[in-house]
Amino acid sequence: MLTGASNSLGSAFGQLAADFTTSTTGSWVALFSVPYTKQFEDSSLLVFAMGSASATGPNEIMSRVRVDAVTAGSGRGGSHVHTTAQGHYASLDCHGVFTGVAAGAHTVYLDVYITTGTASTLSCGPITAAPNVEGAALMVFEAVS
Amino acid sequence: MPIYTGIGTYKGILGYATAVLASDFSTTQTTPMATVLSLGYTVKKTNSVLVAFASANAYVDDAVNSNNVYAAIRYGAGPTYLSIEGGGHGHGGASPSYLKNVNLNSESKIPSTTAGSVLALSLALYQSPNATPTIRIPALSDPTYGARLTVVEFG
Repeated sequence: MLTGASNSLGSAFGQLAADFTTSTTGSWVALFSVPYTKQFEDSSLLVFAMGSASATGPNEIMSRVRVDAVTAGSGRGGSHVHTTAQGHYASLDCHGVFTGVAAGAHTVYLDVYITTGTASTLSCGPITAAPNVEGAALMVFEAVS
Repeated sequence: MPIYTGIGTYKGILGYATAVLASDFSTTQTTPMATVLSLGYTVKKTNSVLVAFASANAYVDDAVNSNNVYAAIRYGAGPTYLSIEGGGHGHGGASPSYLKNVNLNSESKIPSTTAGSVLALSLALYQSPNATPTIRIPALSDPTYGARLTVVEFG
């Protein structure tokens, strides 16, 4: 178990701004990212992601958060989808805590993963058109540990 | 009727604790809820705002039975306390056509408490209604599964 203390030092928020689609299976794909400049060497980054997507299926969908190439601090999100007609909604919610990240400019990502199921396409959107039911957001907090 | 309402103000994060599933987890338990992982956190400030988050991805490992799986953050010995339950359903089996993947995300607002008190939190799951399929969560070293529980104190 890791425990942190003291006040948060900074934060960032971002949300998916354009429709996203991928047909990549069997590997992680960045859905979108948020830049964050970390102020202190010894602090930690608390990252929270929310998202709803749809996918063709049947298939398994997973999600994670990432700081640059570092994934070790992430929890996992995900769900499965049936077919477009039978239930194709996928939750992307997950969070992570990242330690040992150097001070300076970084990029925080929300990644998605599609297993090699049937007719594999994941989409997040439409963002700006009705019914506006899909989308994704990232929140980043820097805290001393 | 909601228990907590309104928008709080805070200066920052006073502290946090996070725990990760370190070894593979599996259970056929239905009731009581099975504990996946737990953590302890010493509260820094009286009447601060405490929020817990769980992110977990599990699967139902049974070739025949499907099942509903619920996730909750428990406070102390439980039962579930002010948790917003997460969950999903899995169909079991190894074939992708069985759709075994289950989301166990959950969130919880922890009641205000006094500085120095130790919060004992856990992520727990419940399955129903079919007879005891095995719920599995490979440890976080697995690239696609795992569980993490975090509590953040805002003050």
